[in-house]
Amino acid sequence: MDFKVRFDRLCGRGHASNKDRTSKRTVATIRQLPIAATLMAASLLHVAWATAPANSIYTTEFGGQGLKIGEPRKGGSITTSTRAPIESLDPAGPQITAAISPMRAIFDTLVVYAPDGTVKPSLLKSFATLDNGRNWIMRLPDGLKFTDGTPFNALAIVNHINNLAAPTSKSRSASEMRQIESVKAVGDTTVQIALKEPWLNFPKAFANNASGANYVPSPTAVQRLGVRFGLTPVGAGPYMVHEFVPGAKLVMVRNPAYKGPNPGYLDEIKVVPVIDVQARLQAVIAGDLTIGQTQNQADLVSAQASGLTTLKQPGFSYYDILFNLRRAPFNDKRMRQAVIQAINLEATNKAVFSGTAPGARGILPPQHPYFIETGWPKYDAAAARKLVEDYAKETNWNKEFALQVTSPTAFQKQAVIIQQMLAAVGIKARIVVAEQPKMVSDALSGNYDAQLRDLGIRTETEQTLANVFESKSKGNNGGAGNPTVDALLQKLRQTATAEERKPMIQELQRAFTQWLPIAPLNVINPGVFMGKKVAGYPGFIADQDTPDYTKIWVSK
Amino acid sequence: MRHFTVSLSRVVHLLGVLLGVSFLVFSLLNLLPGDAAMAIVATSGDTSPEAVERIRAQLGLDQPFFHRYFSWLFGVLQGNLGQSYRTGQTVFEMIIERLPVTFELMVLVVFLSLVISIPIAVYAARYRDSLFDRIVAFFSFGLQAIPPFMVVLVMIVVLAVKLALLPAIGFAPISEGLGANLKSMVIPVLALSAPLIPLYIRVLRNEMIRTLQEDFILVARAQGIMPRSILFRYALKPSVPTLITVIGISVGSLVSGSIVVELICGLPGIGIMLYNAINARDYVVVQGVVLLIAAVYVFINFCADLVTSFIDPRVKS
Repeated sequence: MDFKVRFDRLCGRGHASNKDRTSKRTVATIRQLPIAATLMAASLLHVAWATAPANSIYTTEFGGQGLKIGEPRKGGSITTSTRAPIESLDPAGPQITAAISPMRAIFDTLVVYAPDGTVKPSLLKSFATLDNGRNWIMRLPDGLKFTDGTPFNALAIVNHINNLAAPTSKSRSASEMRQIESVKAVGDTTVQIALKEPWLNFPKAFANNASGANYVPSPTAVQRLGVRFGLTPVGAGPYMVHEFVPGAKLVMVRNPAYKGPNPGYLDEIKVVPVIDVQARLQAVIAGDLTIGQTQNQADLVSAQASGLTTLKQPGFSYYDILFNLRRAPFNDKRMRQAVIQAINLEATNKAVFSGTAPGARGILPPQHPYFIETGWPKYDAAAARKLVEDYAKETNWNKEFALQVTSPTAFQKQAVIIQQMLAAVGIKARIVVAEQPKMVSDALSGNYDAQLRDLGIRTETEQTLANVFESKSKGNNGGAGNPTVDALLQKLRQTATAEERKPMIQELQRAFTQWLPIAPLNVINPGVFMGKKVAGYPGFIADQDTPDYTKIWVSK
Repeated sequence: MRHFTVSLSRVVHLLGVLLGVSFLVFSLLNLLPGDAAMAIVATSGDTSPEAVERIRAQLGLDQPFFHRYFSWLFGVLQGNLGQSYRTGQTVFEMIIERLPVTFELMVLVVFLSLVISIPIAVYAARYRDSLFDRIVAFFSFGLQAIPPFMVVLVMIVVLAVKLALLPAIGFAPISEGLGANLKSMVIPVLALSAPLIPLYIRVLRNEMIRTLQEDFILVARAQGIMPRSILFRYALKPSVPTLITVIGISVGSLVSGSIVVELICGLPGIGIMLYNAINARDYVVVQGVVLLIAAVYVFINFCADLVTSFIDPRVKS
């Protein structure tokens, strides 16, 4: 499909109205479901629309669904849930996805991602390079203050960057901040940064919501609280912490002194971890939770049947098999292709995801704004069998390998089905269950054959791809690179505009199809469900599984 | 004097058990593949071996096993259980913050289980093999077979969603009112009591049946003492020690059950803290919590032994 058409669709532009698109998408999704689920959903559809009329659901700029009933109003409160507990709210600490939305609310963000993957200032007035990406200037507006009264000035940003880059830093941003040669405050509102080498997309090091660089803490509070800052965080965002019980409860209230661009509508936001999706669903139905999330669209059917408003969100992640490219059998492209062609993703979709998670068809997920068809190998058991036979005959391979997999059910179910599919083409896959640290340990040491994991490729694209696949990347767990991919990633890093990036990312996708370093499996399609109290919901930010709390409002 | 000697020997035994548990926990966690450094780099942008080594050194994981164990043990003896690498809180502080929730949950579960199971067990024993006894046996098997997480989900649907009587999730501290606090505890308490009630019923019923066949009961009946008095005054007391022992033992399964229930119901207790710490390979927290659970378990069983020895003259002798 043409990029413009796809991108227009994602941005809500084009021939069809939002209402039409929403209706068509709903009908299309329902058609894919099993008959029983379809009948149940159809019979109860009017209940859902009674809660949220069809014309109140729109497509967000990031390709998800948002909700807008009437005009935004200030006041009220919500209780929302996270899928994992939040233990700390320290932007310089080891982050987890669950903490992203609260940290945005408490600290606000220096920059944000635009839907095309470029970065634009948010709290900052400007963030620009003085030359070819080696020297950078950040400018702050005047008069910003943290909630403890400390001025939010250039020095606060300098301190934050230095903390992230410190040798003892556990931050996700540590390696990126260590690319900085020098950082200094010039006056109250200007930060001057010199990098070790030119990097035209340096602002992306801040824009990634999962990293802590985007959230600047009060330097006074950091100095006073030290490692305990994450328990009583102090920021300059639209909300401040009223109560925080790590791992259990977070209550945020409006910051009356906030002067930034995202003031928010709600007076109070309560965040509680509810790990089990069924408990989340029942709690929203009972009214104890206002909003819940799921990673499986089958849950949205149940939620809709119970009269809740459901919103699909963009799926930028997919399950995948990571091959160890250092050693046999997967150092041979034929065997990687054999595994890809042996797996019937339509079957895994039906068996594991109730038909709601289509298969990926390339290195980028199909919903990615830059996705194009590149002729990624399709399911073909006969071709896979031949590749296996040829390889085994040539190398005396015993047709056996170990497939490492983590404990969550979705991984386990897929592993069992994939094992059967591989057996059908003559490969014996031994399933080895391991927890995440063990998988990381084995991936780092190269002591594995293949791992069943998941991979999220954000709209910024090259940062994730470079981290996972570039030859010199420390995060390249496959253990080998590809010269064409390396060159394209290097080129992309120095290309800032969306127009220039588009053909390069298309070229990059073709290069990956030639290389086949992983086997992409089914797309992870997240969604949210909410009670009738919610009148405004913005959808997820970019491709993180998390919303911007400041854009949520409730009815009277 | 004899009681004092027995108690002292039990205390010494208890300390030995705790020391053994501490070593076992430390060793087992050390044997697990992947450590805190791996868990940290798993979510970081820098997954290089140098980054792993740097974090390992920072957390003291590069030290030899016995050095780490004795450093930790020395700290424990001084009341220092260590510090979480994720939150910066001391483990003691974390435990103190969450213990009241789990403690309240356990006390309510045991209390409710006893209040329900004792009268049912006594009457089931009195009317042995009657329809009532058979119904009790039927439901006992059924309840024991259903895991607490299933019970909790069903309770949420019935009591919170359908009947709207109780909150589906969350915890209201006593500071928000006793009524709200107890309401937030009903579903978790019922879920955890579900497997305990049949266990207590079966144990007490069987003991009561044995006691009711004793000669002194026959004598009591011959003297024309009221059946209710025979049951509750003469037969119950000698049957209780076995139940007390079972209560002590069941605390272990109650702790493991509470982890699941706390997770589903969003109770900020020790269980959820242990789950988070295990997931994040925050071994210092895991060690502290497991040691606490072991100490509580051993202490409760110690108390159960003492109470039994007071109640039952045979044990005393």
